[in-house]
Amino acid sequence: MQVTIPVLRVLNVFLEQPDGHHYGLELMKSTGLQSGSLYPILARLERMGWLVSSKEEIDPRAEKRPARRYYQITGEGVRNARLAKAELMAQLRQSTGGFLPGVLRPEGQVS
Amino acid sequence: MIAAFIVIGTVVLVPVVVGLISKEVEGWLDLAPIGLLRLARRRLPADQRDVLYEEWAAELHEALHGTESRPLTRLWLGIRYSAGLLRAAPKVAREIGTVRNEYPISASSTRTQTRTSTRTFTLAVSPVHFQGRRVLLELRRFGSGYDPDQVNAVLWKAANDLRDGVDPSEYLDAARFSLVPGGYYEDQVDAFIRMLKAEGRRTGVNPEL
Repeated sequence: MQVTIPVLRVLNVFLEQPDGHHYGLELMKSTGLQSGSLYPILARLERMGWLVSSKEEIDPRAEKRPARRYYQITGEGVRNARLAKAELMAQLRQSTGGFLPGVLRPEGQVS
Repeated sequence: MIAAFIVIGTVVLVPVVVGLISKEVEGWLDLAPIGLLRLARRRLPADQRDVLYEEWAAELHEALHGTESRPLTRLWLGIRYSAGLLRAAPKVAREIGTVRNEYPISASSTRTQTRTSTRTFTLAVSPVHFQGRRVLLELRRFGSGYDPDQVNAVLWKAANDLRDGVDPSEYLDAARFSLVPGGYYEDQVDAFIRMLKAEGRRTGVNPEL
């Protein structure tokens, strides 16, 4: 799977807390991605088995909101995401001579 | 006296009327992103519409009723959210494939009821686990479909092979199933087999089945 910077932003949120559950709007805020970019990424990661999703089990009337769909990273997703992240960072470091702009810090950590 | 009534009427009624108009306009503004989201839903394949729209509608609800609930802010947030999905809906459907093809079957039940305008009938389903998720293959209520025993045997073998890193594409290509009354819907089984073959072709993948 080709891991681009937007995909990496999404994966990074999941890697920060591998047992965490996240939903779309929350991920849009934390990654800065718009819905048109985020949801295809989530769909692809889910199809690849890196993420799983499940519908929240709530009583919509009691909560006064519809049930959300939450995403969680799988064990396979954690392993592959870490590998992909390391590879992408190495490529970027090589192509930029060690300088990683934007969300990527020079020491190779994703903010 | 009349002048006093006019002054009192103006002081009391004008703010009330302005408030009512304001609320009416707010209500109409909320309809724009909902309308766009419904258009996005129509760009999805029929079997994915409900499950994806359900997720997106819940998010839009939060965008429209969340903390940033000033009318113009939420209008902007809502329209941006829905417009993005209007553009990306076909891509989301392509990306997700059959992984979340679980509608209209209940996630917690192997039997569910689908209501039509004229009658109620029951769909029987059989869950197959793939990569930790349930893939639901429907059994035909009427007519014939693929023999569930034969399908289950092949899928089970393919699942084990994939777990062991063996590509099952060859025998999945050759697989032929008998048609029996109340069998699996053929297109669902075929779609699932295509997904298994795609997994088999990928290198270095060890799906958790």
